[in-house]
Amino acid sequence: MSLTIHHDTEQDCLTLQLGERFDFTVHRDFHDACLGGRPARSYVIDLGEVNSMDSSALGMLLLLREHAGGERSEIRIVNAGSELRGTLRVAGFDKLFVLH
Amino acid sequence: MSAIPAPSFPRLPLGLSVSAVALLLCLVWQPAWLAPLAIAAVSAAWFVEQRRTPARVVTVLPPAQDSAPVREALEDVREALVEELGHASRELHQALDLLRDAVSELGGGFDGLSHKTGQQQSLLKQIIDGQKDGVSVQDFAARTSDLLEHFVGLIVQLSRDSLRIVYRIDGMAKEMDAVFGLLKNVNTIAEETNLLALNASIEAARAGEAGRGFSVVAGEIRNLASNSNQFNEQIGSHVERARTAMEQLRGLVGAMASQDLNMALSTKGGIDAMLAHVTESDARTSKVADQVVEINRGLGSDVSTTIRSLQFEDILSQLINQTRTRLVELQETTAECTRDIEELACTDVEAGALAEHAQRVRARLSMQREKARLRARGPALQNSMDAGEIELF
Repeated sequence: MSLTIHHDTEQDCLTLQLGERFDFTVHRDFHDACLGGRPARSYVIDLGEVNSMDSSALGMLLLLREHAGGERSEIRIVNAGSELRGTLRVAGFDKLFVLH
Repeated sequence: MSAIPAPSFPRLPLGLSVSAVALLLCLVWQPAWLAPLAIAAVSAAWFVEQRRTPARVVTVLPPAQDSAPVREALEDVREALVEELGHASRELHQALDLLRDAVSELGGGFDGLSHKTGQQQSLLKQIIDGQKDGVSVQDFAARTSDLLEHFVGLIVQLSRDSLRIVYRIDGMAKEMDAVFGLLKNVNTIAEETNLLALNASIEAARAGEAGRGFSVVAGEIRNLASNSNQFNEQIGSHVERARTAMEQLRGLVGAMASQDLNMALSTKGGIDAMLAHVTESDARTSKVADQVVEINRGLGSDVSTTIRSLQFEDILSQLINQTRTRLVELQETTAECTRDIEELACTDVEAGALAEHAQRVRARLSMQREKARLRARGPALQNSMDAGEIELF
């Protein structure tokens, strides 16, 4: 499974653990996991296992941000490697998300 | 000239007679204390005698007839001295000319150097100012970096919108599936209708003549069911094609959404590295330029110091001129004095004239000394190079 979801109901925090690839192949799972229903209060995107990522991943993250309330959203991106971090920074995501 | 003391003949009898008297007294009357007294008396007498007669000086003059070689020798001495002094004076003059030429050339050279240093400095200033005003590589790299970020932002937005379309297509596909499911229901209805129509026509046949009309209706209904089935199949195939087309569209839009960002990332890395390099290089260049400006300033001040130092020519000229004057005067004095000495040495002169000549020589020398003294007091010579600044620029 390329996407594992864990929902902390107490905190209403949705954790998405991505697999090796974070690209168009996961778009349907991603949609079903967090873009379909009611938005959670906060999200944690774990990129620890990801070693390749393309622009569709960033598009999905932007859609998640819109779904979660834009400026009011609380999305943390954790465990990103240096290369992924560089990509996120070039795209200006360090200003839109909390990068750990 | 030599003074020889004359032998003291008149003193001899007195000394002898006193000594004889003393000897006689000693022989005739001989107490022990008389001998030292006698010796004291003799000595006193001798001493008094000695003091009373002054030494007579006799001047021995060389004979006049032997004066020719002396005159010649003195003449030679005078000529040699005068000639040497003249040489020295001329050489000093020559040295002065050389000094003037050399100093003027040195001055010209240093003026040129100072001018060129100034030009160099102004050129350097232009370069530095140009660097500050113009579009720097740093600026260019920063703009490129901004552009790249903008470009990446556009790609990400495109991906987001593409995904949005994909999700819409997925929604539409679900609707299509629902239509498909409904069409199956319609199909079932048509089949059941067909079955009903079949049953109806069977019942109509059993009814015989009375059921003929009903049989026709049942046949029509069967036709309708069959038509409905055909329509259903057509709709189903259209919907299927629409689904295939949507699936293709989904693939296309999905490909649009999936852009490789590695190129942008590596380009960004390259730009960052370039920026760092340019910043470092700029800092180094400006540091070196500052150093060069400082060196140039030092050079200018060195040149001005050197030009100021060339004033030594003035001081040296004054000194040499003064020395030349001294030499010329010395030449005259030497000529006159040697001539006087020659007179003295070679002619037979009496004591009065001799004294007069000596007096003249002394007077001449003291006049010369007085002149030298006055000159030393005259317009003061510059002793130091440090006085006075020269402004070059």
